[in-house]
Amino acid sequence: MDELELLKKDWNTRTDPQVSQDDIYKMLHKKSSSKVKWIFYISVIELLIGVVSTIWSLSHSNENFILNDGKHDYSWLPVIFESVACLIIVYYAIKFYKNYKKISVDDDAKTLMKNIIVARRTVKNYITVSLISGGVFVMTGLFLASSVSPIFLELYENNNHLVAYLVLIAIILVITTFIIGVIWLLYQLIYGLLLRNLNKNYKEIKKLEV
Amino acid sequence: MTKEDEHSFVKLLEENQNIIHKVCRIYTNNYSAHNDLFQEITIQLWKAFPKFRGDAKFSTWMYRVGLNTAITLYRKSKKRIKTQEIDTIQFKLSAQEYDNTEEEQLKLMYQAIHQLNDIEKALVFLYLEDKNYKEISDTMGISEVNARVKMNRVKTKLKKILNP
Repeated sequence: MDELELLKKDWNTRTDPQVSQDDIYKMLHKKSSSKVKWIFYISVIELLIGVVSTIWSLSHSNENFILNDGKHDYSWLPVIFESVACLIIVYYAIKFYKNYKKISVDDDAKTLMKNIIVARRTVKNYITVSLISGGVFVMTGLFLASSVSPIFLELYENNNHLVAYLVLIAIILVITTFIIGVIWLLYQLIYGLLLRNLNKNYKEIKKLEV
Repeated sequence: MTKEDEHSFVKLLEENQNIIHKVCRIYTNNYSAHNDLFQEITIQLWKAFPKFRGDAKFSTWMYRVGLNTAITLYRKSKKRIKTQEIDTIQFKLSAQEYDNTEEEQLKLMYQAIHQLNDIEKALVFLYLEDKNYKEISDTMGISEVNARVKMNRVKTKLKKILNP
């Protein structure tokens, strides 16, 4: 290709303004604006938000599990949820740290992109698992609290018992799923924006292997 | 890292800085973006320098870090993108006014390259640097066969952009 040969000739003869040693020294102490740095900060913030919201929701929902009928005390349930939530946080924090450490700028282009995506996906999985477990926790609390509420008891007395429970479960399920769904969609948007270009390039490089 | 490490790094970088300039030439098309990317590559090289063991040539290692920074790590600001768009428009106008000279051909070539995606730009860069398919495969993480196939496709694509 003639044009490419012409370009090659120009490529090797063209000189750019040279940077002095003094300027290089100065650059070494400047802050990087690397995407990986931002991905790290955002991931850590997300993990921390997960930790804080889990602690908050667990400490503020104990009353839901002690029913006001005086007969039922499910206060042991939050303890189980708390233990599971702690295990989830520890597991994903370690996994994220390990995956993040694998990111190395002197890997080949494809490996670097893959490692960044994997580290980021760890946090995304953490958010998914947290939202699901949080949703189950909230739904259980709501179910127990509602099951002794006057409105439900009236429904329970005047209808088939199974139908009353199904209506209650359906309402709780729809409300919780809607709220969690909105949070999930917002998160997906942020996640997508942060990795848009990287995902595009990774797809492009993976296409070459097909 | 010690002062000695810093000094030897700066010396090596100064000697090999043309590699970074060439990466910037492919991935940016204005002076300010060129300088920004140059600085980011320098910072990334410096951060990764402790891992450079000297079993590969410094220049070979620079190709990897430089391209990885340009393709994956570099964050283009909106302000910068706007400036690039303006430059391209001005460039298009001036290119149309030129006669069919070598300079015009070169400008059109650079313009065509800037229309490629990041991966294609990397392949063109490695081609212009006379890297063989083994080196291209090692830098990009793809097989030699795929590197060869993709390189031919990129050349065809460039041809199409230049002769629509």
